[in-house]
Amino acid sequence: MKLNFILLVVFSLFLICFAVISSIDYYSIDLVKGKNNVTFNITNPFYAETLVKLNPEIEAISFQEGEEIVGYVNFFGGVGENFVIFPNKTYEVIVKENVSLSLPYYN
Amino acid sequence: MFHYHYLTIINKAFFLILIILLVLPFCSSAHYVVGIVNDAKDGTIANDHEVVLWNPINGMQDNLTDIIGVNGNSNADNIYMFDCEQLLTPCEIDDELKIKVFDTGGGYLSKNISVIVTGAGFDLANNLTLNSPPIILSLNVDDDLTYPINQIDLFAASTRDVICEAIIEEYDGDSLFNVIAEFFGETSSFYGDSDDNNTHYTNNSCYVNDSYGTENQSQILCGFEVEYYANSENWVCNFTIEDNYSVSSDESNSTFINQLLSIEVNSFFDFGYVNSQAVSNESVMNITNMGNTKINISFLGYAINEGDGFAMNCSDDGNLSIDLLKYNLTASTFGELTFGEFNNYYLNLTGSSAIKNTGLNFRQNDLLNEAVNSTYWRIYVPNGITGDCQGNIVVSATLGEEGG
Repeated sequence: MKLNFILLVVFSLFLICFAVISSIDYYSIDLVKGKNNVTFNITNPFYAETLVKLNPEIEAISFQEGEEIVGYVNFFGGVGENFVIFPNKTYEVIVKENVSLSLPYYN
Repeated sequence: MFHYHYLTIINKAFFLILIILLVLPFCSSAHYVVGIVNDAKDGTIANDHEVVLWNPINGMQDNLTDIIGVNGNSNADNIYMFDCEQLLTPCEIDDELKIKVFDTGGGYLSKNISVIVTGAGFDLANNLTLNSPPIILSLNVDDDLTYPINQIDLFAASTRDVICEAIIEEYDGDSLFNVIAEFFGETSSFYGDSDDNNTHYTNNSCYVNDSYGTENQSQILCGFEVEYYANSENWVCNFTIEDNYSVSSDESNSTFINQLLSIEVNSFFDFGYVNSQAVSNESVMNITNMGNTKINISFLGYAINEGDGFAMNCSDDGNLSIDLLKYNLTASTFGELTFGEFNNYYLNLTGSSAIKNTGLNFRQNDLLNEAVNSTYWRIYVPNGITGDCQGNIVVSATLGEEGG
């Protein structure tokens, strides 16, 4: 009983930490150099190309769609599938340096 | 106790879901390798050709492919894009991956290049350039005679030089390999057939003239010594060449080998000493087909002038009548013969040409000339003829039944 209680407390703390970390992504979207998993708290979807043009520090952005990984790479003006970024969906964003993401103005 | 048990289950389930939620986002990890493929120098665009990526450590069977250009992953002209983490053994930092354009049938491919996987968002491979296969600008085949054009006139009892001349354009300036020309009868043989002087010739040591034309052009001369008994029909010169990517190009052109009607016979034969009122021993005249068509043979005889009605003129001023010299086209008869047997077994020589349907085929055996027809001759010397006698036999050939 006591052990369960401890476990429950630990999990709850972990959940709180996770929510806090996620809330940071949601609102400030500060990314560190390398891979970041980001969920965009946005009202209007936008294209990956738009995000990459606003943030040239982005090297690649991708997400998993079923068995397939869909990606857009910041090379030669942008190559890959210029997919739509939706809210409440997780994307892998790779940046070449620490950056605070700029989002399209209507968001 | 009951509540405690359920609480434990709920906690474990919660923990499991939490772990899945934490791990799931990392499953979608990607590492991109991108690169540019330049169009081939012959003008062929790189778009829609296929690129393959593999890790040599894991073998080429674990590979990814992409289509260059807008129909591929990159959606951009001349660019390919791989997510190397999609390999069965996903790529890792410091892996050395190989990339190349592979040939999907047109002979357009590239060399292999390497790219090292880094920790960056994507890795850019060195540029590739689509290889241009060698282009055969022209192919001509003819003999060494200036006339007639596009026909081969064989040389009796010998060979005729036939040349397949190809003009090559190799835009990449690659070295040329495996230059092979085959010259063969269109109906009697085929490309890849074994050599046979009647039907098929191969030359794999053609002369390459690099100083011909522009910087990337070459003239290639492939010669064939075509035997006099090569079939009379349409002949094809098929020419193949490879560049240093083992990409081959081939071309063919045709010509016609004309019929050749030609024979070879003994320049003379001698009956030796023949008693008066006796039949000579048999002498053999070998007639050899030295052309490329079936032949019939005809004979006529004369002593001094054609049509004089004599077989021989003798030194005592006497003449041997034409019908005293006889021949057999097929069978030899040994031993001494009576005049009656002589008349039965042999045909009269005549003063005018008499065509005999011998149907002597042309040579088929490359090692031994079997196209020989032996004819057997005897002469009867009547009473009163003495001295040395001499006459002429004219042997002619005409086209046989299958010779047209």
